[in-house]
Amino acid sequence: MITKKDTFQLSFFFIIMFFLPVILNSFQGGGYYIGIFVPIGFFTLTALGLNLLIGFAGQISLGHAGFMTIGAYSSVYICNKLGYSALYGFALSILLNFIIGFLISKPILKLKGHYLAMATLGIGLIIQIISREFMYFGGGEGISLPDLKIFDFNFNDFKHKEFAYYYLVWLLNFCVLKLSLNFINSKAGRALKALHINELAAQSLGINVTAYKTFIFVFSTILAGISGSIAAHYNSYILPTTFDLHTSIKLVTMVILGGTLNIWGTLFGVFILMIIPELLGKFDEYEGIVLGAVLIVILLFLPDGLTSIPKKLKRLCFKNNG
Amino acid sequence: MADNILIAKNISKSFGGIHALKNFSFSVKKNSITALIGPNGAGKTTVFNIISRIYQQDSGEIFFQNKDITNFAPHQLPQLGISRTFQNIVLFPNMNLVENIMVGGHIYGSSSIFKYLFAVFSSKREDELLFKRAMNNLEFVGLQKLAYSEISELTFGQLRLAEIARCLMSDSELLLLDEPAAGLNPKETEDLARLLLEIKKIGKTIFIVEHDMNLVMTISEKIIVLNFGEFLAKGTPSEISTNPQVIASYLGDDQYIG
Ligand SMILES: Nc1ncnc2c1ncn2[C@@H]1O[C@H](COP(=O)(O)OP(=O)(O)OP(=O)(O)O)[C@@H](O)[C@H]1O
Ligand SMILES: [Mg+2]
Repeated sequence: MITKKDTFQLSFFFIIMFFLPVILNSFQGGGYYIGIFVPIGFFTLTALGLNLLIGFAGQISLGHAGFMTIGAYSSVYICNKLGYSALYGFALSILLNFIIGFLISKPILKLKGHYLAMATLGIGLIIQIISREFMYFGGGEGISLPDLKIFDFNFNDFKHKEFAYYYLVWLLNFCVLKLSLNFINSKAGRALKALHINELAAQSLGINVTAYKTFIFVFSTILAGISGSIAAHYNSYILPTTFDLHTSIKLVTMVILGGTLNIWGTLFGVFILMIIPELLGKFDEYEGIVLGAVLIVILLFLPDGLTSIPKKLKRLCFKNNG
Repeated sequence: MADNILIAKNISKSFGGIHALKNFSFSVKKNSITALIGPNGAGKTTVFNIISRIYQQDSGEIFFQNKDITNFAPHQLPQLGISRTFQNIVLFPNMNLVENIMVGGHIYGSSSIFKYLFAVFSSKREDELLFKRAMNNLEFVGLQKLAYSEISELTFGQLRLAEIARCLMSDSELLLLDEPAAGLNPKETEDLARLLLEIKKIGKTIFIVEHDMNLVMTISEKIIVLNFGEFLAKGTPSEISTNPQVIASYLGDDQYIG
């Protein structure tokens, strides 16, 4: 059941995110900072789904950038090739990721541990290669997207494009947070945690393990798809390499950094990994190294992520006193 | 026989070259405590795994309440009325104790996963009910004070009791308990015996695998002996303890007499 604490945190989150642009905008160059929160927002959308999959259900995926790519190219197809409204692009993105996620979840979720990691990695690569070889979508050169227009509202035309996208993506994140909290605080969340530890035992307790794993995998691919569609519109352009293996690894790092048994941890994980490059200036070449280092340090010293720090500290103090 | 809740006929199972079970038949009477004993590696856990559909037998049939359960999936068994514990205790360290117990009541509530995402009904009420039942079962096994403890904080004996409490959550007719006394001290074993008799009193059937002969002899009405995957003997505790074959192959080995 959703606890009072969750409701409080969710309201707090809503208020902060609602007023953040207003506050940032009162500073010099505020538009730039709001702009940073747009990619943070769409990565959060993918990472939230991934946290349910990795943190709660214990199933790794190194291929979620691929589902973002599917989402992005769905929007390209609808908006650029067919000239229909962006909403249909989102619909196609959801539909495709639903179908593809469902179909591959059947064979792939039978795999465990590093076999699952390799299989999902392969799927990400296959999607990337297909998008590169598909000349209809510009091949390796990529392809542009028209402005994101929902009904008569043009997101890119808006005085500050960042504002419009910011509210779109964070409103979505708010909804997904609410859904995730519903889910993990019910028997469904406990079922995920149980099958994470031991699938056979979970089954003997009445949990339909296959159904739960499929459900949460498909949910996460759909979120990745929506995220990819928004990202493509925001950048007005999509390349087969926009969301690649590197992105997939970054997403997993975000989830693990934040803490895998805490929905809110994901927000910190995404924020930190997105803000570091901004703070250090352009350091494209070193980003991989930083990412790897963060992952190793976290796995060695904080396997339960940043959100486990308060608990760890409490335990440390307790030990010292006792 | 109508008052047999579980009947197995000629069950065979092999793993590679190992014949874990050979033409094993047995029955468990409704509302009884029936024990399955035998030396290490005799195939006792394999019997439980076949009943709970984790393993598929090579041949033979199993009937629960006169229903052939061969085509059921493991997750359908609690719904059917069969619940179990595990020899190598399986609790979930990513949840506290009472949440662990609540997992045992998974069959209650909606079976649509989708609904839990959108919370289109009051999953809160459903959870409150489940929570209350979990607390009742914790109280029943004497762990209510530890409801909010982490699994890592519990003693071995408490973990065994927790598994039994979780097993009770689905309100199953038949409980399969795989060595619930293993690792318990004499006092804990005595308490366990009382608890199992209590569970029988509320109408449940207990099918128990156990090495602790004292416990088995005190609580069970019927004992089935398995030896190298084959049926060796069955009978009341006094019949079994005086059966020369059983003494030779199992009870004579005094490490099991405790
Ligand atoms: N999954 C498996 N794969 C291969 N062999 C198995 C498997 N499960 C059980 N066995 C073998 O089947 C035989 C019976 O094992 P089982 O676990 O049923 O014995 P048991 O009577 O429960 O023993 P214990 O008293 O030690 O628990 C053993 O030889 C065991 O090695
Ligand atoms: Mg065994």
